Amino acid sequence: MGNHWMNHKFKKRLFTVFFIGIIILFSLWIRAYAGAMKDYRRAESFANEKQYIKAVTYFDRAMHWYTPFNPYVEQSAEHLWGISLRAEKDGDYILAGIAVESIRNSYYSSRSFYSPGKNWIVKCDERTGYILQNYGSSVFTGGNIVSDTINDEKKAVKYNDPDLFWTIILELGLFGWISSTICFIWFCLRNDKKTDRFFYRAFFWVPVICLNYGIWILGMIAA
Amino acid sequence: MKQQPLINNLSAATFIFVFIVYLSTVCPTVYVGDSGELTAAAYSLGIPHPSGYPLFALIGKIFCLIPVGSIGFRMNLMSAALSSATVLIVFNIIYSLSSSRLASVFGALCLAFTQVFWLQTVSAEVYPLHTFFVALLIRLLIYWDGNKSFASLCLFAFIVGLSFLNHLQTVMMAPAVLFFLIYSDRKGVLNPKSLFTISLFFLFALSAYVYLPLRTHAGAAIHWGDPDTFKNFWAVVSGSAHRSHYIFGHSLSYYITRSKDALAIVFSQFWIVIITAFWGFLKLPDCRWKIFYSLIIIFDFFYTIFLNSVFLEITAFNLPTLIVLSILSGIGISEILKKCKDVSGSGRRRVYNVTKASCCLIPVIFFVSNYNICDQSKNYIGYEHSLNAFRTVSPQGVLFADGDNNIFPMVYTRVIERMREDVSVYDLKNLFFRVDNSDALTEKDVSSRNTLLPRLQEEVVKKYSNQGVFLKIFDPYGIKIPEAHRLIPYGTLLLVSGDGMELDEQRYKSVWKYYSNESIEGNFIKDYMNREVAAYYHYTKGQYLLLNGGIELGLKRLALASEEGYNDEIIHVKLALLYTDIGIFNLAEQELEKALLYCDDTAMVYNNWGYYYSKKGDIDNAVLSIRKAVELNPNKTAYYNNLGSILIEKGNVDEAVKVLKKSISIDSNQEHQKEIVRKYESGKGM
Repeated sequence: MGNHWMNHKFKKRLFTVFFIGIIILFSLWIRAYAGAMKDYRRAESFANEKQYIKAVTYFDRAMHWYTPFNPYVEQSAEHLWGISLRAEKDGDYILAGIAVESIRNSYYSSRSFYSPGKNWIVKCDERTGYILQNYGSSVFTGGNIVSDTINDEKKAVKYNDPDLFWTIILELGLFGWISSTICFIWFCLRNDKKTDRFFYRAFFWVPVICLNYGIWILGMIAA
Repeated sequence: MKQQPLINNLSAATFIFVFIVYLSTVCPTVYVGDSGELTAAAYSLGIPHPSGYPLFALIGKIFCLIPVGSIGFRMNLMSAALSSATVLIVFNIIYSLSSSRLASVFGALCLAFTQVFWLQTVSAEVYPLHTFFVALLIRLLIYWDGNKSFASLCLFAFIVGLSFLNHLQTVMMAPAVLFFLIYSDRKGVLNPKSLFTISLFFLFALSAYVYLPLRTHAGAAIHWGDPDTFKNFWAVVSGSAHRSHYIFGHSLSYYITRSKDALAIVFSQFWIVIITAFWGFLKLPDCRWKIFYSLIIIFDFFYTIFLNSVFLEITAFNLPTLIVLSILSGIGISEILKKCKDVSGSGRRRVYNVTKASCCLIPVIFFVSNYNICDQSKNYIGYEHSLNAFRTVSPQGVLFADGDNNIFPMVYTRVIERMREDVSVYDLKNLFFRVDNSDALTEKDVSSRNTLLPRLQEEVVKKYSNQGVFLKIFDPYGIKIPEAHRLIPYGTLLLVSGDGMELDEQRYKSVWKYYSNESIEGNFIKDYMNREVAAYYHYTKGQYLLLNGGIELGLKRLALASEEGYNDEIIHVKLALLYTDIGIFNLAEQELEKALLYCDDTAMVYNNWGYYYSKKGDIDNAVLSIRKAVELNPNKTAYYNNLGSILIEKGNVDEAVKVLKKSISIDSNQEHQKEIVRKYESGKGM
């Protein structure tokens, strides 16, 4: 009877947590979708009015609202690409570069446990290189973009992302050792009079804590 | 029996409601201030500014992996989620103490919609996690008080340890907690065996600080202070480099003013609810809790007033106080409701209903009055600020940055969004974007590092000036510019230009057209830091317009800068200098007056008064002002040098030589000043 009641109570709680989770995820998706839609529409109207830099701003914002199954992100990328091509045709090489850079930055900012828009990033890198090589100019008259030798000297720092696999291992280890420590306290120390039970339970929880702690440390080193 | 599911549903509904409100007001991208740095640190599993905030970074990384919006938005979401969880815990605390559903909703929502608390939910910050721990620790202490079990004491110690992995401000709860524990169960707590075990759990949680050296060693993109040696580790964890210079470093009048301001902030958050909180305090069942809550408030104020000098508008202080007041107000309301129920006579039902309606109305008033202030859903200022800087720099250019509001959004856009990877970025303090040979720099002691770093930076400027070296710094004297080079305002940045270098006029004039400024110029309520960025934008634009013939528009922009940055430290000084240079002395005088009101560095303001008077031809007042600057800051060589020049102009050569000698004695590396002294001492002068 007692077990049945516990199960029922546990199931109810699980259902509540699941329900809250679903509502939160849905509200997040709605927020991103609505944000992208609103910015995309504003961008389109600016593009129609030939206010291209404003259009870039709002397409860029729409792209930053990335979420799975959000059509406005891809459509914004296509519009930005179109603006870049048009700007090159019009001789506005700075705008051409800015539009392409926006696509690239937006996809980089959308990375999670997967990286959306990888093809776009490659395409943008190629186009940025092309624009830089053909139209890049210095702020000073007569100046030109400096040779590769000097650029090598500048040693532009590339920031590597932590390894995803090891990041997940690290997080599992972290929450593993925190929760197993809490479990140890809860199950082993709650009734300190029953010494035999303490040792029996500690024999289980202490290695679990050590294992998780070790996994966490390993994750931090390898990520 | 039926009460429990109902209360669970009500608490869940409160949590969801608060979260959805926060979601609608959260900033959609990187925020100004620490947000960019903290976001980039979480994303790269790196180390932000002291005390390193390992738990923040570790939890933040999970939020970075949610595929919704940009990474900046996800980290802002973390603040919204943690703050909602804090509200949920406060709800639970009030219910456990009062068994009143209405009082629990009242207290929780009052906290949720107070301005200071709500503003913390819009951007990535460490305070939401801190408030979460404060609420959780109070809840655990209530639980322990109910059963006095050893396990709950150990759990409490472990959670305290975890909270120290986020913000050391938790230490301010120590007096309250220690008093409560010892007073409640002296034998149980002070027993050596118990004490040892409790300490073990506390230290076990604290051991997670091993994150700092391990992630530094693993090559995390951000590793402030390189905490992979014991010395650096301690400096970061203790925050010694961050704090030592401002603890108790002010006058009595300063502390009195700060106390008044801090009290005013708390009262303005709660106004009438303060009365219910006071009522709740009086109705607390025993004096232990009264002393416990009082100590939390007292030490929270102590921290705000004496241990910190950050402008109260910038950082969220008094958050633990707000939590305590919310709990007490919930208890107060439940007591008031009980009293109303007890009222006898025909009006009893009416009184009870009116009280209930007031309970519902007050959080609604909080919500309505604070929504516009806290709604940062249109705030792209941090992003635009950084974006515009990168759009200014020419291909393969170099960008030097300084100041939190300049660097931190840039750390986000560069590390996460990989913005303009053809541009080399350096920060003047060499913390994130380091100059070449920085490995050598980290090994040097502080004094030699302080001389080596400017030299290396100067070399970089000299080497790459022909391809465009840009500065994004508030103080142009913050970096040493090589001889025969000067600074030119270029968009929102400064450009280093050497002799014989001629600007591409077309490019120079077109910079502004490529800026994204919808948010900077946007019509929503901005906080201090956002106003600083916006004011600086208006200042640079106004300066550009003035220098390029658009006098009327330029002056309008500058007036906007002054208005937007009304309590900003630097903007009034900058405006005063600009107005002095172009000869609009009445406006210059107004700006200097404002600078004196808001600028902490009054010596710098007096020095600028000196410049203003000298330009106006009033040499006597110029001397007086700069003398005042020297008196206020006797270590700044620039003030002695300015005083020397003005004394020479006045014909007081002997005193000028003395002053210049004093300047040289402070910094012997001043060839130009030595030359002047030699010239006048050998009698070749005037």
